Amino acid sequence: MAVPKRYSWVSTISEFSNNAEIQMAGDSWWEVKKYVQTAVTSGGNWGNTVFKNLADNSLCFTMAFHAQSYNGVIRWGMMNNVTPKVDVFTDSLDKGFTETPFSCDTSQYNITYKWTVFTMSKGVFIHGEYQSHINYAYPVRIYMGRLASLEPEDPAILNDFVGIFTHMPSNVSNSNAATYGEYNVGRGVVRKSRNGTKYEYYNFTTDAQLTSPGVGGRYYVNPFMVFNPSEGVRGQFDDIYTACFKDASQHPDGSILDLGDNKYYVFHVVDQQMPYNGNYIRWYTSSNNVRYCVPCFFGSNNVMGGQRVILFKI
Amino acid sequence: MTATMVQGFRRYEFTSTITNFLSTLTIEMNTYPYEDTNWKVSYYPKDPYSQPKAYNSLNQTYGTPLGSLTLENLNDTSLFFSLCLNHSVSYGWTTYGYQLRCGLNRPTVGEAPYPDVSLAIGEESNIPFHTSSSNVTLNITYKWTVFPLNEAIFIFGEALNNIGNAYPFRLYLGRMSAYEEEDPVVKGSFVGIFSHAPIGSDTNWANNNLYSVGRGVVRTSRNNKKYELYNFCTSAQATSPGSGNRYFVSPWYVFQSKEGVRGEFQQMRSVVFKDANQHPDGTMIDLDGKRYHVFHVNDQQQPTSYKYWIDTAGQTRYIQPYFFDSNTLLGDGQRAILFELPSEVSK
Repeated sequence: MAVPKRYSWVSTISEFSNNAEIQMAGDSWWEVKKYVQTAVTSGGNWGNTVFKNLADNSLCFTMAFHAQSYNGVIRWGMMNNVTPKVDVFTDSLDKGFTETPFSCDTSQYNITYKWTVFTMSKGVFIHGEYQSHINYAYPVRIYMGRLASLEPEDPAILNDFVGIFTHMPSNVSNSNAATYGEYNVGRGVVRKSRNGTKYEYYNFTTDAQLTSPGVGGRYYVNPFMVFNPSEGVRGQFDDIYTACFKDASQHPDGSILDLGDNKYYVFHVVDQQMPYNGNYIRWYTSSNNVRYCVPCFFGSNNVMGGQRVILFKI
Repeated sequence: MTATMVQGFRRYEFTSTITNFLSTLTIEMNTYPYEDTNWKVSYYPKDPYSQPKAYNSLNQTYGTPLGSLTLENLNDTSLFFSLCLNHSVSYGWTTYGYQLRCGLNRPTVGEAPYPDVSLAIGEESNIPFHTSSSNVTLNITYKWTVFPLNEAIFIFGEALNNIGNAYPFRLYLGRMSAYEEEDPVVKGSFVGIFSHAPIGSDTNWANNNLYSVGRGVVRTSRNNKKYELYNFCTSAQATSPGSGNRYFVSPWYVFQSKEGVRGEFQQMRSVVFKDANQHPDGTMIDLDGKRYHVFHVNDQQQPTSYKYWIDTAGQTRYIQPYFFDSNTLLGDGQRAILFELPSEVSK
């Protein structure tokens, strides 16, 4: 595949949709459109964005940015609906537990982020670096797109191996203060499991700590493995890998890492702190249900020495 | 007591309190016919390094020595570890919790225990058994499972009481496998101690929760810096077998931000089984041409009280314990450690 297209801008959450439509017009792989709240079933009051894949009609993601009284969240859609609809929110069993919050609770913070959006032929990656409300904001990480299965699968099943994975694990909520942080794992939603369960939860994990190159010039490039306790590992994010460089200046942001057989586009991740706030694990769904969960995307929030990167396979 | 023996591989299991741990381990590993074939274990009940002393009045001792042991490899006598039980105490007598002072070099004279790590880099390198919340010293009972390997020992402790304060205990002592051929002098010193308590602490608990990584000490770095700190991590979450009957088995990588990855723990891998019944504890599993002994890990909850402990120098250490990449698995599955066994040779 080609080098991913990269877009970046700075805006508040409620301006994301406007900027995305303007900035990403003419993208090689995705059509990006904004919608007002009333145009989307259960749409968001902070704007709505639909990413539609140009080559594959079934690939379509809806983001509804919604603010209630405590914090802003994203409601998700992952089907190609005639009228845009956040179907994960409206049709899945756990509804609100699939939302992605922007901040921990206590107020409606319309946070300013530096957004970096990467488009690839089968997926979109969004990185949000907060610029305001540092005591409350979560660093944003989102992958939405096709997943690569490790085994050849029946095409009908394979076609629904499409997921949304964000910094806030789906459907994990623990009100016991003692057990925060016990699970150090991400969790997202996949269109269908191997046996056809809709909106199945899958965990994901990567090893983004090992500093490279190690002895002998070895590079440790890790996939995001996607698994489910009843199926085991089924696949991984398509063409996205992680690594951690000893020396960031040898591999600047935006450069190409050539490891012989494989070439990668390098993106430097900004490891921002989790909110410095006693309640940083508490947020509310758009239905005002309280949730307690520790965000997780890279296995650890910070690295002890080195520069964490995302590698997009070229 | 129980001991499992397979082709020179031994597994010891027993239950004891902290104060009886070192002496019981010595008895277990020296009892006929289960004597360990790789390691010589000696217990020193009166070792001066295990004598608690007031950190704020160093001439004042408290009680009697708590005992120390040494582990000496029978095939390679340069492999020599000391574990000295001690606890933190302030004058006037408040005690703050049990911990092990460690050594990974043979003393220059004699064979007595010598906690050179804590003497060289400080008491922050000690291995705490429990948190010091409310200034308690708890003689916790643990179920111990000990795996002496060819050039390393792994110790696993499952707390049976005081779980609000007890750290689930994990300790690797031994040589690591280097990924590249190293100068024999350098390679001979790729020997470390890695426990559930990362060395180094952050006084800010909120910040401390951000690193999910283990950290231990190695005899020398590749450029010969003594007592270099190395991180370690493993990937023990992905459930196996996955589609296509794939098993995801991960080593414990040992790395450092300046050197990158240098090697891994010897003879040990982590895995998560979908179905624990298919691979019971104590069985063998053949994977990719290698044979392993299966040990089911009990993922105990971390202490509910504050996650700090107080070292024998009186310093408060805030830590986020680490050994398996996550403390608990989300969803079903059984985390296990696979110990590599020698495969039989047929004529």
